[in-house]
Amino acid sequence: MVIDMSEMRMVFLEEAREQMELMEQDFLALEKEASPDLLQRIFRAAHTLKGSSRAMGYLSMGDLTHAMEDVLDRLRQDRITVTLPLIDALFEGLDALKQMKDEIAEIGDTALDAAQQTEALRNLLEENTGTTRSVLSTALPFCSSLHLTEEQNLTLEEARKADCISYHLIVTLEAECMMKSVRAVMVLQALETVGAVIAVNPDEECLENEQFDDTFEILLASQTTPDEIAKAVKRVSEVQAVQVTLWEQERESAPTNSPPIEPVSQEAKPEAKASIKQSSTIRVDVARLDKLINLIGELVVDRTRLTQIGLKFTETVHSSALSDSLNETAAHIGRITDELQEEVMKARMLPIENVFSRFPRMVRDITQKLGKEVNLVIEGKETELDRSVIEVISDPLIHMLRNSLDHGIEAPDEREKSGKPRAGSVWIRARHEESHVVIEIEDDGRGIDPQRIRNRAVEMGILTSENANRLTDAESINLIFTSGLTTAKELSDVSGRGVGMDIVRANLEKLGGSVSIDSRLGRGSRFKVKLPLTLAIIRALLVEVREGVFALPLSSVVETLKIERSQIHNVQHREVILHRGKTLPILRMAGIFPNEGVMTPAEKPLAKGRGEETVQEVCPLLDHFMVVVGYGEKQVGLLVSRLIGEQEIVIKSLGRFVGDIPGISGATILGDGRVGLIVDVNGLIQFSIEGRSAPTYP
Amino acid sequence: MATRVLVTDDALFMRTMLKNILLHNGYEVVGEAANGRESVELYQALRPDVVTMDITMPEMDGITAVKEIRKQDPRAKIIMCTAMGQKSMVMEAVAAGATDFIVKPFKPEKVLEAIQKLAR
Repeated sequence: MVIDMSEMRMVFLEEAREQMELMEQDFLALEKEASPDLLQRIFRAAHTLKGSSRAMGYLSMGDLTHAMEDVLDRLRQDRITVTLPLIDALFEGLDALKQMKDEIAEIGDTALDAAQQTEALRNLLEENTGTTRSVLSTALPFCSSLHLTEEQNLTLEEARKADCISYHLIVTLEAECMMKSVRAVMVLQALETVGAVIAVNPDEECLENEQFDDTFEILLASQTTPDEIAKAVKRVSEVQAVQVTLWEQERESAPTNSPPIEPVSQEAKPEAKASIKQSSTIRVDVARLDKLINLIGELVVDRTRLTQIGLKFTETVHSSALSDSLNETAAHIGRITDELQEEVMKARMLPIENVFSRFPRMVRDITQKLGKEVNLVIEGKETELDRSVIEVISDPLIHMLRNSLDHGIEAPDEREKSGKPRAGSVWIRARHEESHVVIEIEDDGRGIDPQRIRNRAVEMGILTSENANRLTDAESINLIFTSGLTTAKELSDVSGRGVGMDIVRANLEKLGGSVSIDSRLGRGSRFKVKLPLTLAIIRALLVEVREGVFALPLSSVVETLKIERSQIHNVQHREVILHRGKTLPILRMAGIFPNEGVMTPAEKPLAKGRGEETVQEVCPLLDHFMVVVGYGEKQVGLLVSRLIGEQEIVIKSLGRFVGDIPGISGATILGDGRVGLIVDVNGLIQFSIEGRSAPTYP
Repeated sequence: MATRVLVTDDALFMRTMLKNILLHNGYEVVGEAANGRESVELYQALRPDVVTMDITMPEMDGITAVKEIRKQDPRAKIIMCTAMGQKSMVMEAVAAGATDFIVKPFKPEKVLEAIQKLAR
């Protein structure tokens, strides 16, 4: 039998993942309420998983799911009740399953032995019901003599009068036959079509309870031939042998003419070949979608070029029917390309549920550890966003959620004292806002004390007390995004100590997103994360620096303006400009990316551009345009030669040969075929002003 | 003409497995049903020679489906695909008119043996 195992494994893994996600959700629900529907569903998931893992030969996985199934089955039948240890054991089993699944995905097999978890589940069964693990009573040895009761003898007599012959059948089932009892019943059933079963040894009860070896004997009264009887028995699967002899007391007559036997296998096949629609969805490899989006990116480029050629052509030949139809076609291709792009983007969208689904379990584990009570409310889990975003938002969100549980929500007693319900609430909401997705994490905990933040900032030397006192409450609260600031008194193993929010913010901004906070002391806090729907395509401001084109992500652009040489001042060897009442540092793009052609922007080290006088000499003010970029408080003015305009660009990586270039996050192909470099604004600010490298997630 | 089989199981994995076994041995899989209801509907539309039927399924379980299909066609040939420990349900299915059963995890030979028996 040749079956492509790797393909089967893919199907297996995909389905196993789905079942496990389902189980996780349902276990959580089970903890709250055990409804029959729910139990039925979980049981089915465990059952399915057991079947497929055994078929794939992952036996320890099969054993574990089998144990889970048994527990669930008992629950279903109300023979045991849901307890905390039970839920814990189920969760531990599930964790082991996930681990196995991951191993299988990676190396094709799993060496993980889940005996401990399996045993824990099994023990649960025994504790709960005492004698549940049924020990099959030893099979009765086969005894080849049928002892007829008085009644059976009478029946036999009757049958003989009705021209029936009594046969003695010895039926042997295959040694590896499973559910022998059912086979036995099927044999009896089959015999009923050719005669009447008068006696069975062992008796029917023993047969049904599987209290027999592979062999049993039957006394049958029938009008048909031994051959027909044997055939009827053989029609049952897994029958190894059947022996039909005349019953000992039945010596006198030979078989008479056999009555017609009901035809058992005739075909009933009317013409019906309706093509049935199987399913309206198919699974597609993600890599294929990524390829598609890349190709469309190039199509977008060509579309723009086509439009440009069309315009040039019109200029050269003036208006003509030919140029009109060229422009028309170009416009049409443009529209279709747009639609195509949108559709493929949609195909890559996943509901945010993929991220959120991990949270209930996480919240349960953390709150249990912290001894808190928390209701988690998830809203808008069906909100869709690009899988590129889904992949990266998980960590920052988890971090914030942990913060809320650890620092936000108070202990039950403390909450009671301040007149709140013992159980805190945490809301996670997702929704679309224009071309962004907004995710809010809100808690009704203690909130953030602005005064405490101010004190802490001064204590840690981040601010002078003078400056600190000048801050508004909102500004103070925003200090939690400053690196190094922590208000936690001691380190907790749930959310760590303060090395969080600045990194969360930096990482979100790297994705073109933002995070803001709103907090009321004693009432709770709300974090609001705003992210682009996709990371594959961004809107950018294209600027020209000498010959090269750079793309500035629009999310980081604050404003653009034209400036004069006289407005630039030198403060401590740095160029600054007074802008809207604030001193704004200036970076000359031409100095940062010394430019001998666009393709080799970063051959000179970035640090040279840090406002040295030499740079000014090299670059007198050729660049009159300033783009103010930045996030929140950190802003800089970038000097560029020319503003080109706003455009959607498809992000491409620089490829592994170029590697990481500080200040550049990627590249894009422009309408005219040139390469534009995408500026990593955050990295640029960090690197140029603060002189340190961009942050990375721990 | 190849024996036409309708495969019923809520697990895509099991369906794929069965399909692979059947296709490799010259059978035709005319349909796949993910639950009992689908199976009953597909039986009516396709009139397959043999149906394989899982027992625990959402929407409609295998036993009910056997009963429904037998109502349509008393001579329908249905093989129950069952797991260990479901004996009483198999009994019920057999009583309801299932023709045969195989126990998961099944060996390809067992599947083929059962189907060959019925296809004759």
